[in-house]
Amino acid sequence: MLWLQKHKVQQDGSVVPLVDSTGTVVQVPVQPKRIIFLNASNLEIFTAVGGKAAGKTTSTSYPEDILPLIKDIPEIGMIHSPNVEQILGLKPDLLIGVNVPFHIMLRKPMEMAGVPLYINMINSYEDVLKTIDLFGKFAGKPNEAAAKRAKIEADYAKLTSDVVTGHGPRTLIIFGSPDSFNMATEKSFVGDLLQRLGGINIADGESKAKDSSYIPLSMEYITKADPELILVITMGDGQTVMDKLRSELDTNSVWKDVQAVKNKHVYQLPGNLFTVNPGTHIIEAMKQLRGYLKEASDGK
Amino acid sequence: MVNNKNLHLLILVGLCVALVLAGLISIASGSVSLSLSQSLAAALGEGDKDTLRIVNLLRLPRTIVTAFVGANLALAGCILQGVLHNPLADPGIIGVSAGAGLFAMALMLIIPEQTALVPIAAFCGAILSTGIVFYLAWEKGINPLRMILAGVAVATFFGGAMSALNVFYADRIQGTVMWMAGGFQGRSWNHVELLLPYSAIGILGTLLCARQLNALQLGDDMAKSLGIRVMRVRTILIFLSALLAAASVSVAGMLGFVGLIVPHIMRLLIGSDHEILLPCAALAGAIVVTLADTAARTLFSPLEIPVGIFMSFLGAPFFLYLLKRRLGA
Repeated sequence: MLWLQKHKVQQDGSVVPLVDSTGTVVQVPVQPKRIIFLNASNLEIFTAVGGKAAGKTTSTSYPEDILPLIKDIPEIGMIHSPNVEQILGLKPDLLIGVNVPFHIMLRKPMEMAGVPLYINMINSYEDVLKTIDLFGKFAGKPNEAAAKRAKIEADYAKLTSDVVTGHGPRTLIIFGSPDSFNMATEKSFVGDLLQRLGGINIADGESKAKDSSYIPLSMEYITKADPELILVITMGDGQTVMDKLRSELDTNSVWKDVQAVKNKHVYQLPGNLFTVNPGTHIIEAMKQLRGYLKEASDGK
Repeated sequence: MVNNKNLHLLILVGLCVALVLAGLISIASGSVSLSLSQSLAAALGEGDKDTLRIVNLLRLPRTIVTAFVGANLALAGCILQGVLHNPLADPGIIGVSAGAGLFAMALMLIIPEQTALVPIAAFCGAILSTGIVFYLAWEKGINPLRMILAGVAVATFFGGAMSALNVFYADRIQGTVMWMAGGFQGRSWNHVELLLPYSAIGILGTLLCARQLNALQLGDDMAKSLGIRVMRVRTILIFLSALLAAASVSVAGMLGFVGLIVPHIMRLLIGSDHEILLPCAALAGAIVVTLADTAARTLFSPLEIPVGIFMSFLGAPFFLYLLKRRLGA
């Protein structure tokens, strides 16, 4: 029967079992040669440690420093709708994606085609370091990866040497706009960084949604928690969004009594570092965050 | 009558030929360019390793899935419009989409690493919500009016739950958008295996009931006098449509349009004799979805446009044109 011809293509060369971020054991080639990346942040780290990918996701959020290095890598469609045929046409020996439905969905058909799918999530500072190590191995450049990692660890130590956890300003991280917004919890990448820099995230106080990175909180709760610092991550970038937001906060009678608004400690986090995962630019993101935290605590 | 029968036969044969052509076009086109002869050879097991992988693992199963989903949804819509005497009836009205949508979405948002189970979760959700609608509409058989009201109520309830998920997992919602829009990215043999048994039962069962469905069109009393057990036939038909729709929604996501508009288009073209309408609608549904999916994955390659968007943009104006022409005449 025509449709029962299932093909199992044997991999050449040896494989090694690795456990990915979803707990799945993936048979990864010891030295993968053609890796396709299904999301931007994983590709960024791979490129930063000296790797050359065989395919990349269609995206506008690649950091500028790697653009010249990746401009001739073929695209395989957007993050939430990768084109399977394009992927197989590029003859990859490994796919690397994140834990989203349309990446997981590729696992079965790709396995039948003999291409393993490795899910790599970057949700914290440690994840960035781990990813640098792993991708250094994949790229065949362990030394470059080790150097990159050492640099980040040294910078991190310097940046956090005088941090006393839980003594920073009470902070609210808004994701969206003041009309329709969610708050970042400690589960989110930015929430993780905030905690490491000593900030107190008001969304973690009484949140019962333990699993969510972003949760809706009531205006009443915000008034009661009275944040000293408000950080905003918007999807669209640019000054207009922020101007509109500031004027709304200033005129809205509930918002304008919040300490952060009164003392003008409302800042927009740059989209290139916070809307997408900063990857190896994590220290830049932390420096930015640290600066805002300092301003809020100094200006009390 | 003889003339009419010949014409119907001609249309049926024409649609069969068109479906075969649509299937060939679908197998021969994609992001990787292969000629028709290369693709056909690969489908028969000849060709280099990469061509074989692309044709046998991606295009062939996907073409089969699109054809069956199209046929199933068109049939389900055809039955429901006939049984419920409601031109706006589509598989959504019996609660299928609401349940499938909620269960699939919950799985994709809460435990995305288990996304492989989405078709099964969606199928269970569809069966559950349809079951609730049936229970509410039951009155020694299914009461059509109560069914529509129960369907709306259940859809609202499940819709509320979906909005709640939207709010609590706002950062992950993008991952589900493509599924909600309906599409066939990465569909493979496991989806064919899931779809095939239910489609076979649903399609055969429906075609066998064509005569009874015709009788129901004359009204309950007339149908009774023709010796039809109205309640039983109606209930069986609705069950069959639920099965067809549930199987389709679970592999293709929330694919609207086909179930609503393809039956109407076929009715406008060939009339409402279900013995000919049902097979024609099934074939037309299969052709439309197969071609639309081929367009969706090739026009903007490597980007894939959800096929539902394509069908709405092309199908709705065509439907309005047919409607206007008929009103004019």
